[in-house]
Amino acid sequence: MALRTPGAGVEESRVTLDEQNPVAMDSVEELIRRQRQTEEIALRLFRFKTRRGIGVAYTFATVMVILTLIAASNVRFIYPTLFLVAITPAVVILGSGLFGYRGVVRMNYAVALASGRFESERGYVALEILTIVILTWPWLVFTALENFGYSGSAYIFPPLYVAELFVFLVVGYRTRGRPTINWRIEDTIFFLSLCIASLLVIVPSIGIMGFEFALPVWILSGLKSLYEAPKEVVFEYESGRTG
Amino acid sequence: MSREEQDDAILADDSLLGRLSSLGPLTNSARVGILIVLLGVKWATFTDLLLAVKLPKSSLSMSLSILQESGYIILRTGLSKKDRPRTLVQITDRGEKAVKEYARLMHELTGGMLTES
Repeated sequence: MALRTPGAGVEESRVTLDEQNPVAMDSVEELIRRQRQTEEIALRLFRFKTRRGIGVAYTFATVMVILTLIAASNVRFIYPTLFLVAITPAVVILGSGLFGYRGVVRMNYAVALASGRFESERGYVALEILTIVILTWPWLVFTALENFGYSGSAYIFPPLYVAELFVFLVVGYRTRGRPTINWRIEDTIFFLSLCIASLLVIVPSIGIMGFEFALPVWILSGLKSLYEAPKEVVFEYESGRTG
Repeated sequence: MSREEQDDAILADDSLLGRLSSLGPLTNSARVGILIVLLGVKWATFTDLLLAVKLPKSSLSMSLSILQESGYIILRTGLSKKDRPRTLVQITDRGEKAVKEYARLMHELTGGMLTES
């Protein structure tokens, strides 16, 4: 690809750009106002890209459930939950690249930088990896206990997972500052269905098949996210959060 | 010390303002916004930036030219999958350092109020 200067030929344009003369800046409020403008520019694009990534992730989660249910029906020698749990971390790590998960980490870092927080980028990556571990370990322990015949003890862990999910959301909501994700109705529906399906795992007659009911909900959530992603850049939300 | 006096003290700090001036092209909020975007996504298309910055095409082109001349970004043109011409904008190491330095200076100039507000 050849290098090019797209501005060539438009220099005579008389469009006035919002130039700042540092010496002429008359108040700190003005500096803050201008910095908020730059943050807004970045958030607009980041929220669009994140929403699109979430749409793909929700749809991909549906594929995971279908694979698990197929395994549960056909591969009798593998405990279905074990299958789900064993491949989930691998999918998350692989998916982190596919869904732009690493991109989200970087976007959060850029927004934090723009808003005057100077955490290291590595700190953000570590936090995201820790999140994956926290949200995965209850399933690993559950599977291990189930397979060793300690079902009674195992049933503590799906509710624990749901509790962790809620803590994670509440803490994330309070500490993230201006988030790169606009929380929407489809996110609420996705997480509620995930919680219900997780809790149904401890009902012996339902088990892993509880995730079956979540399939249409997840597909719809994914498609809605993909369909509405462009709205993140077309419309500006005053509050930064929408339903 | 009153709020106004605090403002004056901060803005009278020539060393900070001098360092901010040395970042030349970054005295424009749209250009800083472009670099923050590129810091987050590494590269973006011209259309992506147009949607984010919400400037006329000519203004965005001009801003990109200025950033390219300063060595903060690289512009590449190529064809999309549908054989349409498309411009990719990528941040350079110099651009990354500049925007980080800018953020640090703004933090100092605003006396940490950027984080609080």
